[in-house]
Amino acid sequence: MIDAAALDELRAVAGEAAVLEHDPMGLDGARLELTIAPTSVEDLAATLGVCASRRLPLLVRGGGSRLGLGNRPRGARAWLSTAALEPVCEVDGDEGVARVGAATPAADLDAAARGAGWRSPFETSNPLSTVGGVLATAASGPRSLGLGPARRAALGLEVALASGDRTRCGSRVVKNVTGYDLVKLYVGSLGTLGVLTEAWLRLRPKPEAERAFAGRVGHEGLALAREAARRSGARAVAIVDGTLASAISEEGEGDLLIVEFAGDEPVVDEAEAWLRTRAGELAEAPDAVGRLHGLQESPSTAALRFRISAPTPHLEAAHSMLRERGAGVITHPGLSQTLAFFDLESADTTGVDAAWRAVHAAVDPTVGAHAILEQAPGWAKDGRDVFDAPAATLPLMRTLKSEFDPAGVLNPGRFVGAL
Amino acid sequence: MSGLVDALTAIVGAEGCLSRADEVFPYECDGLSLHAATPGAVVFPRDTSDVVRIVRACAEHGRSFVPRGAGTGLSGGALACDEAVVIECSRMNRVLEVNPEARWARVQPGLVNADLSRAVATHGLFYAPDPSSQLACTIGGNVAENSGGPHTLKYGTTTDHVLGLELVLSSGEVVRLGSACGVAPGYDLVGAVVGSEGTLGVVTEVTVNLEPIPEAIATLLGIFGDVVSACRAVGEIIRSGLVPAALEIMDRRTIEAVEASVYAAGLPRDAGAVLLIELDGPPPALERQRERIRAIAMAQGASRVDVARDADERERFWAARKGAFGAMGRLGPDLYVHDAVVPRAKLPEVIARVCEIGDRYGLKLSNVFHAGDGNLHPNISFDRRNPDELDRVLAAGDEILRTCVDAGGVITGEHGVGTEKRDFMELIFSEADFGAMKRLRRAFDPEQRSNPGKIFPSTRFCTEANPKARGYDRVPLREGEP
Ligand SMILES: Cc1cc2nc3c(=O)[nH]c(=O)nc-3n(C[C@H](O)[C@H](O)[C@@H](O)COP(=O)(O)OP(=O)(O)OC[C@H]3O[C@@H](n4cnc5c(N)ncnc54)[C@H](O)[C@@H]3O)c2cc1C
Ligand SMILES: Cc1cc2nc3c(=O)[nH]c(=O)nc-3n(C[C@H](O)[C@H](O)[C@H](O)COP(=O)(O)OP(=O)(O)OC[C@H]3O[C@@H](n4cnc5c(N)ncnc54)[C@H](O)[C@@H]3O)c2cc1C
Repeated sequence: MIDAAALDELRAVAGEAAVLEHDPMGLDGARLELTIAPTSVEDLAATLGVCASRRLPLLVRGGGSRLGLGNRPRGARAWLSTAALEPVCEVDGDEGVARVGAATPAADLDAAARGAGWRSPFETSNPLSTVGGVLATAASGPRSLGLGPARRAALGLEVALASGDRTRCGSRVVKNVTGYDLVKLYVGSLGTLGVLTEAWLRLRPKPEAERAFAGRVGHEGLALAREAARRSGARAVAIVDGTLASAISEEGEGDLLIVEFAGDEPVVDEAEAWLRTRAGELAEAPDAVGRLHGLQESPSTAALRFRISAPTPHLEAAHSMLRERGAGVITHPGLSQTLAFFDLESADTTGVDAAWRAVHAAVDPTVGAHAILEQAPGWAKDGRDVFDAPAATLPLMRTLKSEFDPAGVLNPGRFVGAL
Repeated sequence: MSGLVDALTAIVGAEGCLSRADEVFPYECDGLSLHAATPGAVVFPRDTSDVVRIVRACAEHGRSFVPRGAGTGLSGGALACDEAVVIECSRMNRVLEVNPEARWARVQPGLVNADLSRAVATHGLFYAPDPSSQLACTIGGNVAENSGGPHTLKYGTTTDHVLGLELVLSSGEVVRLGSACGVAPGYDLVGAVVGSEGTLGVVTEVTVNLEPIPEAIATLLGIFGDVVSACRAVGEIIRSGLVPAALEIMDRRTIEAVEASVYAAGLPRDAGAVLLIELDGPPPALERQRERIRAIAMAQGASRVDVARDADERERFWAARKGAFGAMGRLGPDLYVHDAVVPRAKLPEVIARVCEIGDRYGLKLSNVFHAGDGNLHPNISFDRRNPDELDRVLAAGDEILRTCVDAGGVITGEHGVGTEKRDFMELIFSEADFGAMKRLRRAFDPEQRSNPGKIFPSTRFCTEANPKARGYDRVPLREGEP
């Protein structure tokens, strides 16, 4: 139970209606019995201040589409939700930038950007995703090859800190070295340093042409995918192993190659012509990347999903090794990423340990490769760091966390090394 | 100090440690010669372990240190406030490893920017951030300032190209951040260190990503009657969604200075401004983009748009652009290079106001800048021996920065805050914002011994660096100057 005095104080700063007690909800072993959903950024910052002074640990929640990422939370009993914040979304079509509230659905940003003749820098594969959530996880999908990483899209941020302070960093202009680049620090920090409340984002130009292709390929698929990813205009390139591919592609055997080009018409024409000479059997498939999203993001695809990052030349070896060890594999050569899926036969650690062993065998840290376990049942996370962070990097990160969140109230336990 | 000098000499040898006043004098300032401070000593480490030992020796003697590259910085970043020890990285200038397949290179911080592109050209690759000072400035300095250049419009600034770093903290601990594939678990500490102006430690190794040399390049020169129309053309190009590799403006005064110098490229001396546009990518796309841009420029009042006929002409245009600061020497013995950013749609009104400010203060103000990023460089040529003129230079600079901030901009786009702009930081940031920055600083450098006196608004440090505080008479002239 959260004590009555704390509840009173939270209601006093966030408003009666913003503090909701409910039956316990489970997340990776945590039992959450309270949701605080402030309606303004001021209230949200003040709420954080109260939680820090009372040492009431929180789990930050955006749209709730990706709450499973991270280690088991430590001690959290309340959600701090951005859902009731105003969904600000102002697109400046002259500049190609947008000011967006953290609670704004990524899909709304996309619609507003399109309305102004631009495109969102983010994929909108899940209708629940909020801009705050996309920035906090900095985990992006297949199209980030063409769209660029989230860290490049974020120009400025407003962040509420555990101290209760509202802070800004960066700005709305596209080039800026005024002060430390805290934007980079917050993007991808998984809500452990502060709650993102607003962002200035760089939009992407509207491509003149967009064309996607898919088809089964032989063993040369990986090399072809790597070449395709380096072509001008490549927006998404993936190779899906034959077994996994059957879930999204009815026909054929062998690995499934998905290639999407976007850009000026002549660039896309040229890229398509190149692809046809190299893999004539590929058919135009406008929804190929959509189906790929469905496959790689659906929890029903497999119990465990690892994301492996490695320099491109090493990726192909990792892909093959994981395949041999029975994993379902999707490789994005342009993103230096391989996703590996493992099913679990029983609810004990045997399968999890075997999966980690397979992943470690395929990942060579000396070349800068590493793996994280992105999706797993809570019990499968016990006793390990799902981010598999090298021990040497942790002391500095711990110090940083304790500087920003000395009371340890923001997503405690969730991030690398159970920070 | 002598105990520390002995300790430093034991680490780097007598030839690697300077401490006499006449020896350290050249290290009193960087490219912003109005600010100066005398270093306690200047040391030249050969490798990371030297740096570790130097930093530890400084700690033992309670002394701060300042990493330094080529000293081309324009914001006083490499100034030795508080009699700090300058750690000069020029001996650490090697390319350690190139991986052409994965497209990265691992280099030491003292490597000169242009030497990196030269070293990887045989693989068909180049290092994209290209500050105009690239023939002299170092990768370490670029990382510390998050430097940009003309081609950052398309390729991004240094932060978009650094994959990993080795950093010596002020405790002497060595940390490796990031990874060769650009992703590492946990906080993006590489992103936090890039642009931190040497205040989080000494960068001793940098892994950068390399870009393929573009298939084709088209360089255009739009000739305009005035700089405001050229700015309007830039706004329209951005609005159209085109992303050229570079969009650079030079105004009439700059053109005159360049054409009278060794960088003369045949720019039309009667033009009010030229807009240098570069496109790169696959040939079929370039042709269409060229026509679209030509149409936009003509609609905004360009009298003509020339296309560089060959690589020679292209190089001449770029030599003129990159040599422009040097050419300004003709306009006065001193040059104050300002650096601020505004939203691109605001460029026409802001540039008009900047010119008006220069005129009102009776100054020789010229503009050569990264227009595509909204990154202004109003340059004021002057003579520091004239105290009244120096007063006007500083007052005009103050007004220019405020004008940019009022237009929704920021006080620096690439040169950094250093000592120069720390007292303007409050135009942008609140106490709480500084509080967040200090949290980052404390995590890396709790005693603030790495490059003190920078970024944050004035404290006791470095009051001597400010020309107002020092008295103009003591502002040193650089060697070789009249
Ligand atoms: C493992 C993984 C894989 C992904 N794959 C893809 C993909 O293939 N394609 C694609 O387009 N996108 C992908 N994404 C990005 C995804 O779209 C976003 O992460 C998004 O869905 C999260 O938004 P949300 O609002 O639902 O966040 P939530 O699910 O509510 O929260 C996600 C995390 O972010 C934190 N968080 C949320 N909001 C804030 C905030 N305002 N401030 C601070 N912290 C906050 C939460 O504490 C939580 O840890 C992936 C993300 C993850 C984590
Ligand atoms: C003519 C001219 C043109 C210029 N054009 C541009 C331009 O187009 N774009 C642009 O961005 N800048 C430009 N500059 C500014 C300057 O060249 C850049 O800021 C450059 O990155 C500085 O590099 P440097 O090696 O000279 O560093 P220095 O001036 O020696 O130092 C700059 C900062 O970097 C820190 N530093 C240096 N080495 C290290 C290290 N190893 N570890 C940690 N910190 C370190 C220093 O402490 C200092 O704070 C120009 C300057 C001149 C004189």
